[in-house]
Amino acid sequence: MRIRKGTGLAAATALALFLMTGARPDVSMTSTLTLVSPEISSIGAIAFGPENILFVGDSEGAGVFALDVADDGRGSGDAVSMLGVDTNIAALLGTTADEIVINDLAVHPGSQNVYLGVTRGRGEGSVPVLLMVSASGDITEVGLDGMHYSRAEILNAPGPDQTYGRRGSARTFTVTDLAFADGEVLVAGLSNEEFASNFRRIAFPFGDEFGATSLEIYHVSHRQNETHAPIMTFLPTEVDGAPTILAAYTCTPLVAFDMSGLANGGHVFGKTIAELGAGNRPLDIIGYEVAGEQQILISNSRHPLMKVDPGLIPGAARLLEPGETGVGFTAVQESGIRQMDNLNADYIVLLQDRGEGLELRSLRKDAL
Amino acid sequence: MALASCADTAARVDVDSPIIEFVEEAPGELVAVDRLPQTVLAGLRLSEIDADSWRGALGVFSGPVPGPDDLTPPMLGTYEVEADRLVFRGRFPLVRGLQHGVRLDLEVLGRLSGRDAGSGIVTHEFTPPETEPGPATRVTAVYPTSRRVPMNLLKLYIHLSAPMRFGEAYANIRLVDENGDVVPDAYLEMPQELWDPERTRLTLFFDPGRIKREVGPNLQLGLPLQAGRSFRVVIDPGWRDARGQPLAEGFEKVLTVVEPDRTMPRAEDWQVRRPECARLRPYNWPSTSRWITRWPNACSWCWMPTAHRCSEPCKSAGRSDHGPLRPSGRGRLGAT
Repeated sequence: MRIRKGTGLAAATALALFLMTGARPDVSMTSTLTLVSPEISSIGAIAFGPENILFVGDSEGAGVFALDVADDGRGSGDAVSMLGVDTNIAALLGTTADEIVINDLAVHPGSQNVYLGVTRGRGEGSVPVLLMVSASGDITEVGLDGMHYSRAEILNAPGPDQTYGRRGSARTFTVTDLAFADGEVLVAGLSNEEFASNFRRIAFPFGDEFGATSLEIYHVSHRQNETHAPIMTFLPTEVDGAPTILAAYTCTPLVAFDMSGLANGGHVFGKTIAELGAGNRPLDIIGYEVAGEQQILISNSRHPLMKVDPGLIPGAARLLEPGETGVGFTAVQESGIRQMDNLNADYIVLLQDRGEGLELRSLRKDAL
Repeated sequence: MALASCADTAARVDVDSPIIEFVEEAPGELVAVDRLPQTVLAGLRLSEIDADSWRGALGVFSGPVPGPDDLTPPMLGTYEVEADRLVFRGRFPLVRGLQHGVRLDLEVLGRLSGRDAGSGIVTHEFTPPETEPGPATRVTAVYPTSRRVPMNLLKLYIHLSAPMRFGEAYANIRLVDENGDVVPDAYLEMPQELWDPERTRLTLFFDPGRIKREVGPNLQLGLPLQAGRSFRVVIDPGWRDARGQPLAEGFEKVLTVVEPDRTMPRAEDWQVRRPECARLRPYNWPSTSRWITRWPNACSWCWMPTAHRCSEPCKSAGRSDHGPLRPSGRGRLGAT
């Protein structure tokens, strides 16, 4: 099984791009970012892609931005650490820590700077802000004025006034997570359809190619099929050589979707391979490699960090009965982890709440 | 021209020292440093100064001025030399009612200007005045309005009189039993919170896994509500609205819990009385309105296959105009 998300995969990505899309590696993706000064309504999920282009999910604006952050730094390979990152961000943005929401974290593969998608304010006048934290501990705003970008519209986004099941604004769930793999930006979230849970495949560079598939899963502990609950976080990977999306849902089924079935206009039933615990939200999922072995980490709202052996996934059975837990995990005794990403070959960087505000921490991969 | 200046608390400012003040003037608010030597201002105009250097010379903080070993960063903003003053404008609006600090380092300013600006640190603190708060926000209703609810009640709707802040709902709403103990893990907490687009109606789900029979959370934790017992939904007065103001007062809703309602609504149990179109009135029943709003342009009494069809278009029937639906006896209110 090969995991295709995170630092150190640039070469594989470039090769995959060439094979899957026919894109010539010597043609600059960055050169396709011809628009200037993006106006982003909200910054949710973020992820780096080819040529260190930063993809930003904008649920409110129903779009995905590709940004040229023009960060040419070279990473040192050192760990990153910052106590009170929310307090420091609040100071920089001229407010208090309780007015800061850090929505996602992504590490620039080249510079190893940590990019944070932030919302300043929780009420009237709240605004999205893109920030960068360097290894030396400096926080700077990544200015959008003059920045080159391109944008893809989420064609099936919920309308601004659309609720789903009267539960609330479906619009805020337009993009719950995104990633880049094999020449496509992959976007999970809710759509404007009756079966609202949706997965989009948007070819990059952005053009007219937009594919959307509605998703259904069997939530074993709820004993029901679910079509409305969105994927909360996912990881593009491979199972038995087949490109696969490993997706985690609230309360907490882990589901595998074969990418070959995620075709435009289709409806796909995922294979539930694990139940990771009730009353819990999965917050982030990443793959990493240590000593030549692939591993998967899942952070949670109520449970400790979970390490899943990807070698167990190819033979995993489809769960059908309550009580079945499926693919097991190893609990890593770290809790309160909101977001994470590969920092470099040796470290994973975490946004963690250990009871005294948020902090950025680096954990050695070989110590997990 | 300054329209207003806050009640400043200048500190350690000599007669000949620069004066720092918070100023509200069209088109916005700013922090101004007056009484700087003209030579220094002229030097600053001629120099190319990056943002970090400016902030090292004149730092504005969303809190008290930090001590010398405190690495709290100054806030983002722009700097400009105007006629006879140095001006800072924040990247974002200053927080009203929050004490702010300003630190002016004259030596650094002198280096940036290439002139002698003197020496020492001048500090200043100010609090931008609160804006007119307006009427306090209140909880206007919690649905279902009935005090008696089945133990498998799935959700509550909390209506408020004004838009609320994001991210504070679950910390300010508790389910409390008759002994005053908080029922843990009663609600499903969603990171986005389940607000309507106006952010005046919150949908609060009891954990569906605890409601549905014989599934994991139900077996492990049981239902959050228990028949024969009484609970309170307690809403804290500290819950803040979108303006940052707390509620006018707290709110409590008592739930007297009865046996679970597991009767599926059946269309044949309902009588449909068609009103005259001219007498249409708003229909307000969240438990059934999800059926109705599926067809926002239809008359509500048309939803059942056996019901009378509208004999004529209901020209006045908008999304909120619905006719009465009443159970004929066997139908009961309950969880959907």
